[in-house]
Amino acid sequence: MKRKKDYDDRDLRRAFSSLTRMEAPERTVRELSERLEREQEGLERRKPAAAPLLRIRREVLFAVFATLLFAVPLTYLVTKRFAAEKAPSRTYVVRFIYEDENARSVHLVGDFNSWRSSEIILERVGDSKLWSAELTLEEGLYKYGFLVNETYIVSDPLSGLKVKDSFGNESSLMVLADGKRRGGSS
Amino acid sequence: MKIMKAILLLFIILGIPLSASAGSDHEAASVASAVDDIYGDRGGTVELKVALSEAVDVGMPSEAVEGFVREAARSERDPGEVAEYIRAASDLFSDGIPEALLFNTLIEGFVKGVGREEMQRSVGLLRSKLRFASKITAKHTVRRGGGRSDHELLLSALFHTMNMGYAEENLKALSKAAGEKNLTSRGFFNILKVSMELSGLGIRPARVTAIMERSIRNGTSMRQMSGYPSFVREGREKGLADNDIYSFLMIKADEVLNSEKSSSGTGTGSGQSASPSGGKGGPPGGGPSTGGSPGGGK
Repeated sequence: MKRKKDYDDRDLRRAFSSLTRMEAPERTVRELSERLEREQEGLERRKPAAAPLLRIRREVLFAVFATLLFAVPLTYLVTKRFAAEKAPSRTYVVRFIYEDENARSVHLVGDFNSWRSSEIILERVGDSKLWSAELTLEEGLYKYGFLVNETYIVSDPLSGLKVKDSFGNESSLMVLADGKRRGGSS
Repeated sequence: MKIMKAILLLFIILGIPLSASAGSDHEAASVASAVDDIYGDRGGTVELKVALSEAVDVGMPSEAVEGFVREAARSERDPGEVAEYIRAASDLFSDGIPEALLFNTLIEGFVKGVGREEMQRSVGLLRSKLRFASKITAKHTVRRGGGRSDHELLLSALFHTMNMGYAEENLKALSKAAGEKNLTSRGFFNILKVSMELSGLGIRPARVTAIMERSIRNGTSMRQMSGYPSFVREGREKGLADNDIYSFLMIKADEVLNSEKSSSGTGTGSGQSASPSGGKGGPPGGGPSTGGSPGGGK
């Protein structure tokens, strides 16, 4: 809350000017001048560190500009070019076989092809009821199934490894990894 | 000279973060334009673009995110719904969980025509499973060493083991036993691989856990443990009941201990008797046959 002034500024100034001046005690004057000297010294001591920073402003601006102009695109290109690539992993050639006499078409769908139906088609083996496809895959665990007649997905009857997905459907699981730890690219 | 030094220092200090942010901005912009390509003028894309930008900011590969959006759009998923999934994946990714596990599961759901509500319900469960798997994986890869591929492999194995019906307690018990025996991350992965195979043959997860835990504690070799599935198959062919097979496997898990005791006592130990009779076949479960070779990668 702002209080309302109960005096007039001009009256106050007039009252002050009418006061008689007194000499300050010598000790107080000395102490004050010493304090002022100390503060002045302190300011000068700080000066050498602060001064170049103030003077350098133009150079800093130039450096920032140069960085934006050259370093950013350069570093971006270099990091893109030489970015650490994932070490090659072991590969496995896998043959998938599905048995269905009445199927008109069989596709292989799974984690390895984002469950896309158009990518891997199983071919009928001669006139038999067997359908087959071969695939090269990297080490890992993959869920998969067979899309029959482009209408329904079945898990692999020849595989004992089945997992329930989070939606209650069943898929086959394939584990491609040997017991040994991978070492480099060999 | 001082000025040159200052410029050089600024190049280093400003150049790297700025170029990184320039890179991520560029990626975010390219992913955002991909959204326009995919969804056109459809509503809700702003939310999706924001989610994508956040995903790229946390370091998710833009190709993976873009691929996921394409798959979602192919299955006619609403951009708002897709944004939710991407946010969940970003959240996991920032905790060190690769996006592929969640994305693959969701894409599988899209393809199988799972409804939006069911998908959204499952995302919470998936997240908690992945977080748990990540926690266990970190214990093994940090303590026992192991590269990034081992880390991802183990994480993936734990996640799928849970999808096969293993409870957190089962996996904690296996992890604890493996930790106590100083197994490498690959060693623990192999334990999970055999466990999955046994479950695939119809042995309940709790029983598999008991067998494997005992085997680890007794110092059973990996070669012996790899023979367990063949043993189960043989038992089935001979018409043994599940309880009998389980009892035999528990005995097998004690075999090393017994043979060690007998060899130290009388010197007539029988050595390792469990040899896999199935030989090297395909991957666990007898699914597709692997002809291949651990070749030199691509």
